[in-house]
Amino acid sequence: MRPVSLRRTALGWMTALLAGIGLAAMLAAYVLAQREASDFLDGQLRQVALNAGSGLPDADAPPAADQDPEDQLAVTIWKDGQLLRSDRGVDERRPERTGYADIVMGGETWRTYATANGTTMVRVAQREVVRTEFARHAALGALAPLLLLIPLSWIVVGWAMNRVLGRLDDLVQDLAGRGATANGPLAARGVPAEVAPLVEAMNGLILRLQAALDAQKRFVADAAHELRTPLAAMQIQIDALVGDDGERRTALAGGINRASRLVDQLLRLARLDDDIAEGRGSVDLGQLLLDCVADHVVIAQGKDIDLGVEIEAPARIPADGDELATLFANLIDNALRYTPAGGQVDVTLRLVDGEAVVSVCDTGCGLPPGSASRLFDRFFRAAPPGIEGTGLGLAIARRGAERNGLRLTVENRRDGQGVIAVVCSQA
Amino acid sequence: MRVLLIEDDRMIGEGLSHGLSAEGYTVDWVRDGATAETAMRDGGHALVLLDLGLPGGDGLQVLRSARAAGIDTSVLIVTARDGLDSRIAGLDLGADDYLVKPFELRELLARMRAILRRRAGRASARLVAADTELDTETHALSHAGTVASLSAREYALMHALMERPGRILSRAQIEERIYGWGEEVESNAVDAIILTIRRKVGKGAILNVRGAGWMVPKP
Repeated sequence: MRPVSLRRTALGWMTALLAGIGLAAMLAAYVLAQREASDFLDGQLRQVALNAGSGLPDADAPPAADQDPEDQLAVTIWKDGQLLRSDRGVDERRPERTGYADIVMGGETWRTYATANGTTMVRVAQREVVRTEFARHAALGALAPLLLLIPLSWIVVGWAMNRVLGRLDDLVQDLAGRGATANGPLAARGVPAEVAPLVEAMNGLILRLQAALDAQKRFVADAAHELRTPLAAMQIQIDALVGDDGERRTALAGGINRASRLVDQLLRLARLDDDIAEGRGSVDLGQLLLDCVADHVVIAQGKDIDLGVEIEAPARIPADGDELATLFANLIDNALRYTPAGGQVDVTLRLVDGEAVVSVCDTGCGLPPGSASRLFDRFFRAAPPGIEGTGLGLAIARRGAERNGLRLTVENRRDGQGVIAVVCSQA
Repeated sequence: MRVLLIEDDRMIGEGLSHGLSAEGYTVDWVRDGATAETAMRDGGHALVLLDLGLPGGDGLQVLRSARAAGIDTSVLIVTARDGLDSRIAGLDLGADDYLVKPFELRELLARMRAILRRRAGRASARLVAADTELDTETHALSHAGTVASLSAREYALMHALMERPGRILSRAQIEERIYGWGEEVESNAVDAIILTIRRKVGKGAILNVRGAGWMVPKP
């Protein structure tokens, strides 16, 4: 269905109304003018007839230059039964009655007035067409201003509409600029009164959504917390297991480790969905990267992966240190996870046009084709079977990057040797 | 050595009682806040393992009233809450350490040992990394069961690394620490010293991070 346009609707009805009024005015003017004109012209006819009776005007006098010959009155005079004078186009038969009459002469309708004075009879006739014309002009005259009014109303109403609807632009921008976590009601100031109930209703909806979102966030965090205690219980029970079935114990411990990691990641994700704290400090990116790398050295050593770091130049960026640490820890963790023994992982901090760019580069199995669009989805795993993971690492990394005004891209290396993750300023 | 375990979860309580007993500790296990406060007041424990989520009173409240009553037994908080705020709150109230669930028994035991050592006033004598210890008095380095004594330069290097386990030190940072002002720094000196230390106690004692430097892992 086509959306209803306020402007088109208002202009449509306005035009119809003005056109209706115009037609009515035209009709009224026509009828009134015709009646008025009839009385007036009839009076004229009579005046001429009475005057013509005593002194006869010169029949051969030429008509006035600005006068249509058709507009002229036709005067016919009979004296003692003889035709004394006649204009063209009218019958020369003497009328039987005096006074007003409508008669057809020479194929045209005439309005006549006849008067008799003893033996003399005078008849003045005027074409009916002249009278109709008179009325038509009056009607058109009444219509003309209204015809002018229609386009004028379009301009004025359109302008006023634009002004009023223009106030909604701020509202649109506010709504469009909101993220999923941006809370707080919309500002109703400057909004047209007719739209205010809509804004109020939207604010109600925003509050309800916010509450639902908060509840969901709390649920994830609470659930993850609650899972820790039973996991701890299992972990301790395994540690206390006596017996020599070491292999099954290791398998059990591995399962608990995976569950613990998942719980940690869920909590991290829940925390990254919280509102962004005001007034965060600046972070020494180089030192932060060194610390993140240091946290992974033991894992790298255990997997026989050559983990290297290169800080080309020191850099400070405004960000939350914990969130950045989570971001880079996830990237390095991923790189180590997908790189086979004997491989290499490089973490570098470079300055490109004065902007800090961090890349984490591995020699792992690479991303399978077609996985690019889903890479950052929660619980999506691009890993080949046999590599463990929660499917949350990149989702967490991207959230961490976004919250700090950074952009994260993850793609296969150009040389096809593995994956490169790049974090840089969003601008 | 008596340990007071304050934990409401039966499975964790049983497991810890069992595991700690196997390590030679005597475990008194209480399962709610009120009993915990009484037990702490009775005293006689070398260490308290405190769970924060307790029925009948928050674990932090137990700690607060114990400290208010002048009981200064060492407390190790064991909890599922890992928020920075509750961690800080616990430490501010006078807890000695903080361990987030789930954890391995080995880690709990190591932290308990560290607290007990600190209590005994021996904390300053040893620097501890993952499976490496440096005795600051005898200059003896032990790693994964191998013990060796270090020369002055070796000790200085190891001390620099073990002051902050888990932190990478660059070549320049290490040189700064082991050479005095005006002393000529020989090239490859750091590599040579590290090589000797590794030969003495094993390769895993010092980890190399390509492009950045060296480190010892966190405990």
